[in-house]
Amino acid sequence: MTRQNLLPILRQQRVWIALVLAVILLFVSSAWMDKTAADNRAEIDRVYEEMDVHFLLNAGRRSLSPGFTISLYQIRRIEHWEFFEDFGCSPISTGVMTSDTGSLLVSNWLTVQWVYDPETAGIRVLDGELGEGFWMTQDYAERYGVSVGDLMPVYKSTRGAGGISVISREIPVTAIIECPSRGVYMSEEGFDDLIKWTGNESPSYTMKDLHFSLKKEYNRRMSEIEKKLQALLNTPNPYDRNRDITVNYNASEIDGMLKPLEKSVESAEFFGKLFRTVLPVVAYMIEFIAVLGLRNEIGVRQFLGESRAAVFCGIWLPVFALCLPGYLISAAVLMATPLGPHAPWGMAAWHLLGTAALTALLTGILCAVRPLDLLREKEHE
Amino acid sequence: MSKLELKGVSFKYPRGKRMIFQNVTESFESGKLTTVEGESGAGKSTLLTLLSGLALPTKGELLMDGEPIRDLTAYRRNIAATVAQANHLFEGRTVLENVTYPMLLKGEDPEEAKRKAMEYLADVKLDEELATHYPSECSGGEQKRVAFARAMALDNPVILADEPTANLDKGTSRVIADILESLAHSRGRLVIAVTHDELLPERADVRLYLRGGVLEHE
Repeated sequence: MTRQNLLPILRQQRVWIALVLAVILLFVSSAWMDKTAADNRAEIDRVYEEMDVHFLLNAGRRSLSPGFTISLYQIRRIEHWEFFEDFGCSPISTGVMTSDTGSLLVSNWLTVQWVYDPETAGIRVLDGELGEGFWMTQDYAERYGVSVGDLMPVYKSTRGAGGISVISREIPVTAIIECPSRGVYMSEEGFDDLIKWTGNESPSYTMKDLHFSLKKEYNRRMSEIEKKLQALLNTPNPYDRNRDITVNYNASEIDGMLKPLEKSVESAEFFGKLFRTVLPVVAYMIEFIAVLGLRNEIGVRQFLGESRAAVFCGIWLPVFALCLPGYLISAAVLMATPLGPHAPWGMAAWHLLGTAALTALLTGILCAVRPLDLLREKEHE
Repeated sequence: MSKLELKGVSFKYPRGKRMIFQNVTESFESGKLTTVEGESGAGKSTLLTLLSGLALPTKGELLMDGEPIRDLTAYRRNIAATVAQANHLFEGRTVLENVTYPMLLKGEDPEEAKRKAMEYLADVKLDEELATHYPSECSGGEQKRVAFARAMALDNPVILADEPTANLDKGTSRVIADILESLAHSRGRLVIAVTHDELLPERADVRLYLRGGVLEHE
């Protein structure tokens, strides 16, 4: 490529400076926005990993009572979800919710007590018998300090409900589950059936609040989990006597930490997308103008008898070569700064190809069609 | 002795309905200044377009020393150098670069081309200091002279000029006429100028008049 070929192109200084700036702006701003978004996303991840999410159940605003009542069935459902840990509750009273009396330790976090009244329940108790439902081994019973006699026999309800009639007092549910070898035991589903079977007399517990924390690995799912809780607690069902329990978690505190970061990510993504959409078009337009500005050069060269192929090569190659500084400067800036890992190399490659294609197409069109026509028109003006 | 001939040439623009020329036959010789006159719209510039190798005749042939011209690009590069009415100078190159370019195109050494270009500029009576100016910084007459210097730099046997004295003052027109005369008589070129002007025909060796699509000798 001779100096002669570069001269007229180099002299369109403003166009080339604009092009170089547009290309630099495109790639550096794109990398900058990408880095900003990535940094903020990492910060969001860190916040999610470190923050503590606390759920709190308490009486809804419509409730006249300072406390709320939650059924065993609901407590067990919550307890069985894998999301929660560190349960705590503030009981208002115990043993007043049902006519049954008993005590149930649910996985070491809550002991629910109730009174069993067989007369009211209308269930016949057969002392000393091992019935159809469940019982526990002697060893296990001794370990937990309960006697075999404490195990209530279980049989099919005379009312035809097909459920288990009663559960022993003070026997952990886990114990019942963990002794299957003797062939008679109670599964969790069985226990749930038991609670369901008791119907409106389901054991329940009244408390001022029930609070528990979310395991950190589920932090991102807090709103989904809140909805699950709401659905469990407040969806009308035959076993749920409490339809006005509010589920709160420290959403404001979390929003305070996350919202600015999320907005920053959104903003960086928006501007990144905007720059990636607008600036390539701007750069292409400048390239278009640059080639169009060479009409005279193309026309006169052909007028002087230079072949179309020679004119095409003599124009396109220098034009393309002069497009490169923008890319090279951008690459140097990106490599020399922390923006390097965020450099849009793929986009740069595509844009460079686009530049090559656009300038080649325009130069080709001008070489093939316009110049002599243009000169001929001028001749007749 | 070079000879450029139009042999039974008819011409019509591709989208035009009217035939600009009908069966024109004429020959032009080197060492002579030929002028072509005619009224506006008679087709003088179109005739020059054909002679310049910017278009092929619709019918008939353009011959150089008896050989028909087929490759217009080579014809423009090696046979006919044209000074267009609009000059068609490189806008992005200086006066010196404009004059140097044709020589570089033909493979001349850049330094030698520069030296010759300065001589051509002196031949057309342009100040040396104008060499570094851009055409847009020159007057109409100066631009015309640059176009002549460039045509001379092509070193082609045929020099064509379209209205070379149009819009120029009398002094500059005389300089242009001198250049054309010198090209024909001193350098032995075949020079054809299309003109409205009285000055050039008065100094021409051959005067032609284009009337009704036919070339007539005065």
